[in-house]
Amino acid sequence: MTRRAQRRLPARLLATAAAFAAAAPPAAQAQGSGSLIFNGLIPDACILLITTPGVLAPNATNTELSSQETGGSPALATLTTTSTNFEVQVDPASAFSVEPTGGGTNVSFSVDYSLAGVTILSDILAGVGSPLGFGITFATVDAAAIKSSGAFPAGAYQLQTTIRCVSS
Amino acid sequence: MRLVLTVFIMAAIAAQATFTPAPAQSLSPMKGEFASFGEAFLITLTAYNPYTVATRQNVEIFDEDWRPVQGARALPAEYLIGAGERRAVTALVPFADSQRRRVYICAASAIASGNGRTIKGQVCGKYVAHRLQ
Repeated sequence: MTRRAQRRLPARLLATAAAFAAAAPPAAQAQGSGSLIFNGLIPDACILLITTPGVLAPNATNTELSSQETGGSPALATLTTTSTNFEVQVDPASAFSVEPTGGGTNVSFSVDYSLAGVTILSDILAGVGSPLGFGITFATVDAAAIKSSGAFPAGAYQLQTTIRCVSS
Repeated sequence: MRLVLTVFIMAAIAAQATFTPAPAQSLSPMKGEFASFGEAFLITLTAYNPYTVATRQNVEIFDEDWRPVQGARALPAEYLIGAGERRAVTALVPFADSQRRRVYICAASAIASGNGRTIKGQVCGKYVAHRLQ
């Protein structure tokens, strides 16, 4: 072995030693037992699907437009959650978004909702949030407009509501 | 010899570190807390259309009292998304002189219209940003 090679030997030893150490199993494995780690992630998700927008129908005297009158139907939505970290909210209504002249005066509005499936609640007033269970919840949203003076004039009406799935 | 031993110990520590699980860090689409420099922070979310038809969605940004955040922008703010498709949406939210800002970012579906009745669907995530000095 030449003198130059002898001088390079410690460097080679160091590199070899470092490589062995890096490749060596951790102390726990060397003792005959070890941890196997399984990482997992369930993303928080809420999927909202509006299946039908609902229909308002007048009563016999045209003083009420309601989804619960004959010919009316509630709005339906499905909420699918992957955890219990969500709540559903339904906004109250305060006016028609479409109305004939005079259709919106002396009118009070009401919106409520019921939940079925993994979350079971009935007749919750809009504006009050409800925690959702884990899985599929079916929401039924009813709305009504009541005219306290006179009757609703003929024409097209539209009432807008919002259903919301919120991370709590 | 002492030098060689020291290298052995350091290499062993490094090897052990590679077997130790690092704490996971991810930004969930529906909830997140993070820190950011600057006057505003960016959040990138993935929007999803669960409907069987293409729908138009828009992104709305609210503060913790459900008021629209002044100066906040979503890119894109409105988009058409195919049935069952996903797409990335980025929100830019100013700190507005606060050190901690909690916001709701909502993806709203197009309004479904019926006879006399419309309903809008919103899915809102909650995010907290801390401002680093």
